[in-house]
Amino acid sequence: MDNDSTPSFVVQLPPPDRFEPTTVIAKLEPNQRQINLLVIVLRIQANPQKTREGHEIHSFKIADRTGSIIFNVWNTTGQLIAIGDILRLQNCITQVFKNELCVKPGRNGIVTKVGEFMMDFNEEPDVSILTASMNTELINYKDRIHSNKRPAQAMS
Amino acid sequence: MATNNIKLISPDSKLLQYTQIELKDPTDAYLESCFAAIQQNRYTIESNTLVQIGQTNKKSKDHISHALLYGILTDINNKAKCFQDLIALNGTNLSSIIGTLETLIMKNWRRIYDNVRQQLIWFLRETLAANIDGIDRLYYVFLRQINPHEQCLDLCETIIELLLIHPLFLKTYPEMKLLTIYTFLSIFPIYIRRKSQQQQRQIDFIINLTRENIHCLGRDGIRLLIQLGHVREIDAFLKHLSLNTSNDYLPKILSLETEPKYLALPLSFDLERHLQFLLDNCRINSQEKYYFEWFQSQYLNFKQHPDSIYLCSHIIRYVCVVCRNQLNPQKITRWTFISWLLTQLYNYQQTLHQTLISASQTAMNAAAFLSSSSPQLIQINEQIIQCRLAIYYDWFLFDINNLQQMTNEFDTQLNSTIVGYHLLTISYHQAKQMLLFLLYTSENLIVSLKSFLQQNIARLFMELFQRIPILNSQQLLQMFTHDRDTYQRLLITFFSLPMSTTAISPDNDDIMIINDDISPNAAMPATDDEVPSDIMIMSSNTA
Repeated sequence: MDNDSTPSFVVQLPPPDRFEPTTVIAKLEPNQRQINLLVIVLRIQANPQKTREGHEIHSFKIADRTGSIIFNVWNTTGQLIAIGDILRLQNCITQVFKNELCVKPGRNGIVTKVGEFMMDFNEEPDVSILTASMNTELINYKDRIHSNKRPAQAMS
Repeated sequence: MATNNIKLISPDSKLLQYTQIELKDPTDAYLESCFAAIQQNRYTIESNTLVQIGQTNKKSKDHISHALLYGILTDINNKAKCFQDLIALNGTNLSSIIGTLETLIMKNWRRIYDNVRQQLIWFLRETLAANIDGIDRLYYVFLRQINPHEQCLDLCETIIELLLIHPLFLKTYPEMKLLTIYTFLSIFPIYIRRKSQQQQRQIDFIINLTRENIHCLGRDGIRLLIQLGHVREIDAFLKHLSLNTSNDYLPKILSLETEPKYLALPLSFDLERHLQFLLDNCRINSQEKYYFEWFQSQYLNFKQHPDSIYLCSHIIRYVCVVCRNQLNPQKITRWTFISWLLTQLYNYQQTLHQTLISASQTAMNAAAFLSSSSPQLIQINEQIIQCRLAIYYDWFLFDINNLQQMTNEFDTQLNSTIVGYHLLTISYHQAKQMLLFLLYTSENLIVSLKSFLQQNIARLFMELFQRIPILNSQQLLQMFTHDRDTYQRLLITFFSLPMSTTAISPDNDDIMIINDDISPNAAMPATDDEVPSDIMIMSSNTA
């Protein structure tokens, strides 16, 4: 029987887990930011590579139902990811690296493992392969960046 | 240049182990928040105030109960007090708590800390002793952790000791009794290799239960017993079944199809879910290689976990009987998956063989070395036979009178036998092996029922040729044109008009045990085409 004068027992329940992917792999283009994706790890794309500063870059092929792309991640996070893992990627960016489009965690990026195995995916199209139009856009983008820098160089 | 500056912190937990990229489990988070509320509300776990609040305030009762559960799992010193309070608060109705524990164990067994597992087992023991309602649900999730993948052989011993101490439990829950028998018969090939002082008592306990209840398990109970025919007590029991019981006792057991819930027991919860997902969703060519590779690395990594070969026959049996055909032609079929699984076993067998051959290069008598020196090779050979038996078991027991005049998808007999039929179309070599297996096993599986088994297969072939005309008898017989003897035997046994039904007169022959440690290399008569040591069907253990 409920009694209003009984001492209370208040529980602070954990907040519900809310995550919505903001985009899909098929819609990724170079130099995008604030990307949230739900993906599955298909395979290890390449052996880990060491940078001059001693960081390890791990490269994976990830996919969702719209396509696949390369995912580069550094150090411990890369060591903890295994093939078949379902990952939640938050605050990621896209970048062209070695002439391939790839995704990587941004400055405040978060990589979370949320499951294994049970996710539908399509490996094609492979969005890492830059199309001709993307290549042209990229060249134009780089030209714009360089032309913005030239007045400052002249002044110095 | 942006740095890859991700902060990695593992979720803090006393129940489960996490890596730095995993999210906290919702059940873990809920239990922890309930327990944290005790301190936040300025109570202590030792006080009786919590019970009073829970008894008078329904909203808080569930939270307090879960807080007490968390205390049982994490606080060894106070576990008894927490348990008493839990019973005082809920009586024998702990359905909400048991539901929470079911979820926690089903999803997270591997991640649970060892000390928490001990506490869970302690909780099971206490609730068994207190005769709590719904305790069978909790017992079931523990039982499902005993399988050739998870193994949990310590848990095997614990469960059996618990059952010996509380014999009333199995009498109260007869379904649990049958599930327990099936579980332990599945794990025995691995369990009996581990010698312990109590083991003989434990084996006797399970065998006694089996003797009293084999008629309830159905045909797969007999299949598991045949797999254990090299165990003295089980061999004696099988002889007793065939010699000392009435003529139709064994056929009656074999006619009873084992229910799917038993066939799922040797599979862990994760394996079952992943297997169902793979068979329901995997698309041919585009996803096959990924899903199969992941599945193998998780569950069928024979090199790192040799005991996983014991899982294969159970997976095959589950796929044949419980799973259904995909109507979508772009998705993989059950026989494609089973063919792949068999290929992995054959590859592993070949790898072991090659390893032994290289090791035997310096041996004086290489053949003797090969045959005597590798228990692993014997085990893999036995398991390949068990896998074939799992595929074709229902063929031997096909009952034409029970066939429903409906489409193939809805008849349970055809659902399981279709897989073996389609496997005959995948490759020439595989089809030959399977036909030879059918022939020799039908002659030797249960000698007193030889005609019965062979007639069933013949009728099934006729039925399948009509319903699914992708094969005919000529195509199958053509594989043996170089071996007239086998050709004639197959023709007469399976592909002639059925003999008139005569009463089956059982002989005094024993059930032929398929695997036997005495002569591991006894094989079918070799022909020019086949590999001599491919199929191993043993002679019986006659007294």
